[in-house]
Amino acid sequence: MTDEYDEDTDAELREWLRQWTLAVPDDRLHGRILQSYRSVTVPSSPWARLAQRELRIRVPLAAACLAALIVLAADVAHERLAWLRHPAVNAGRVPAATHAVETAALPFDQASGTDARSIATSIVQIQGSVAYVTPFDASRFTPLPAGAIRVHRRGE
Amino acid sequence: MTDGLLLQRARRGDETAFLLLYERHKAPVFRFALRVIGCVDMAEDVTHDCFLALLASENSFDERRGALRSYLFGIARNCALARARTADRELDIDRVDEPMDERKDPLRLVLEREVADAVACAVAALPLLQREVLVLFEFEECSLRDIAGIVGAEIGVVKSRLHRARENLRVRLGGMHALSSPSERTNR
Repeated sequence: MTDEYDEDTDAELREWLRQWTLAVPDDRLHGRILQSYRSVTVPSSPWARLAQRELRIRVPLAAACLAALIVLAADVAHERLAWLRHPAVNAGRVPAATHAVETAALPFDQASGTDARSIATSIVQIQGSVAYVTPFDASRFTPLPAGAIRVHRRGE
Repeated sequence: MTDGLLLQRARRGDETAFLLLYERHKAPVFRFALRVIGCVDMAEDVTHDCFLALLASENSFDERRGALRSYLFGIARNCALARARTADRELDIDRVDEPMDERKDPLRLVLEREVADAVACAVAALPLLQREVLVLFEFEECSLRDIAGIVGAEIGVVKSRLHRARENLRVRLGGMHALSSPSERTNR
């Protein structure tokens, strides 16, 4: 361990050496270093990084996610606001629902002699996966298998 | 906040953390570079390069293996050696004196400056390997172990260089030694 200590204790020489003092670097160096730092590092703020196009890969990904969310929101809004639209429009716009109602009404059609297609086109309201129809008691057709549209008489 | 943590944040783009690190270590790094290469502009370049090199991912500073200041001295030393080799110049220490203390006796100030100049010239005349060891030990107060890590040599080699540096200085400052110690001279 003695190897780690300096045995040469020339106090006089040390005192001479300590006379040589230097000032600290000035502001010029500070500004230069700061400028260089900004040019080589990625800013921590995502917005700043976006501004410097450091998120080249993530931006398209985020845009795709945002677009998907918008489509989803529009779809949900479309279903939620279905009651505002005219029944015929709804029936035309939701062919899957129309088809489901036709299918569901088929047995009733055979029993009552009513045309299934005319029942289907009499849909007055579609909310989410539920289609409301008026001219017949369709409760006997519910529930349908999971995923299919349930048919209810209006007011149920 | 530790230097290691500040460095991590600085590498992630935290400017405040970087400036804090810079403020902590700029003076010793600059002084070391200036005393080793003797030119203010080059010392500033070394300090600049040193702090930027610190940000590079390949410079993997490990806080458990030593202090950041020693690590910075290591980088500064490499930068200074590279510049000293390419500059191929006679070492003539630029003066970057501390501001004058108005409260001090003018004669005392003149004497101190005279001593400082003589010391600067004597240190500048030392071989580079002796000079860097002397500067780190006497001026920056690094331990022999730290110096060994900085210059990449065994502790015994460091001691040997330090010893030779002091011997050279004693010879070069002999004339001043013959007069008296600085404190005695300035008190007269």
